Amino acid sequence: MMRLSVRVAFPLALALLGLGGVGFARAAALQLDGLAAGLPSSVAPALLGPINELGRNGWNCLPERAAVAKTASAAELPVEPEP
Amino acid sequence: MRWPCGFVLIFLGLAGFVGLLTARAGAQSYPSVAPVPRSTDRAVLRTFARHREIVERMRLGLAALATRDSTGAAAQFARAIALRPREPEASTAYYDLGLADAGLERFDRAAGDFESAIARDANFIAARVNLVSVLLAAGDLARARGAADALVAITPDSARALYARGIVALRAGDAATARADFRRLLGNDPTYAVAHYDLALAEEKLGSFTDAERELRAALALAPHYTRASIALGAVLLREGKRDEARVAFDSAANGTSDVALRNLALALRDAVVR
Repeated sequence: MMRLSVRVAFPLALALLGLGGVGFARAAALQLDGLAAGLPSSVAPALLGPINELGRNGWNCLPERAAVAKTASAAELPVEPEP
Repeated sequence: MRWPCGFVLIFLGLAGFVGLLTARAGAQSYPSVAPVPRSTDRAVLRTFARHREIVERMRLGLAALATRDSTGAAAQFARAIALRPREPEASTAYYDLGLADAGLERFDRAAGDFESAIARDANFIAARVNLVSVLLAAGDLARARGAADALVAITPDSARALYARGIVALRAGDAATARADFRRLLGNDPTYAVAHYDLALAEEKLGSFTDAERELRAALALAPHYTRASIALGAVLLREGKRDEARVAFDSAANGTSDVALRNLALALRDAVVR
């Protein structure tokens, strides 16, 4: 009985491993196709911060300055890789 | 005799221009302390009290936002708005209410708040910027594109405006607009690695694989551990038929990240490339 189990179990394990390998390879191939079809864009920019009760102070408050800045760091745009 | 007269005219013109700028700046701010009433008239006192409450509600709302209490903040800003403030208080209150609603993930309401701020002040750039972001978060690409177009029209060199419209255009499949926006952004700030990455995506969608590869290599030169750029580079190299280089790019992506999911993805992609 015990011998039979080993005889059956070993090929079964090999078959399962083989199937798993095929599945993994197929999944990877699908990922490759999907990747080529559509890479994800970067994240949307975070919201600019609140403006206090003093108002926008002649366009000179921080969110307004960031909104019109020409450089990414001054505009508080996303950074990669994330710090 | 003509010259002094000309100088006087130029001086008056400059003085007028400076005065105009000062007046415009003044119109966008209001005093931190409510003025002391110099009247016992009930209507005047009521107006002072209303203004004082608006300022205090704004302060309480901002304090709540600072502690991430978006519900409390929204209630304070809504009350300030109900008191019918003047400009720039009204547009500022709507702007801050938009932030509170976004904090509660009520993106449609937040979009409405930012639109109300813009309706009261068409040149409120920060409100326009945030409007695009919340519409993107709401998944409303059509409205996000309209808002982004309006933003770029008002401030065509703003990094925020160009980045936001580029992202909206990429997600909506308009690679040509995305390419133009990211190129313009990089013209002002060539050291921004993320824009190189997104420009590469636009180039890839337009079939310009050589340009896409160049942009991704530029992104990686600026940010060597930019894993998504390494993975994208591998994909573009595959499109170019450069399988060995693609494997190297995927391998580099796997080795350059501590994110287990990204690492496994990069390894799986590397191993899926047939030599």
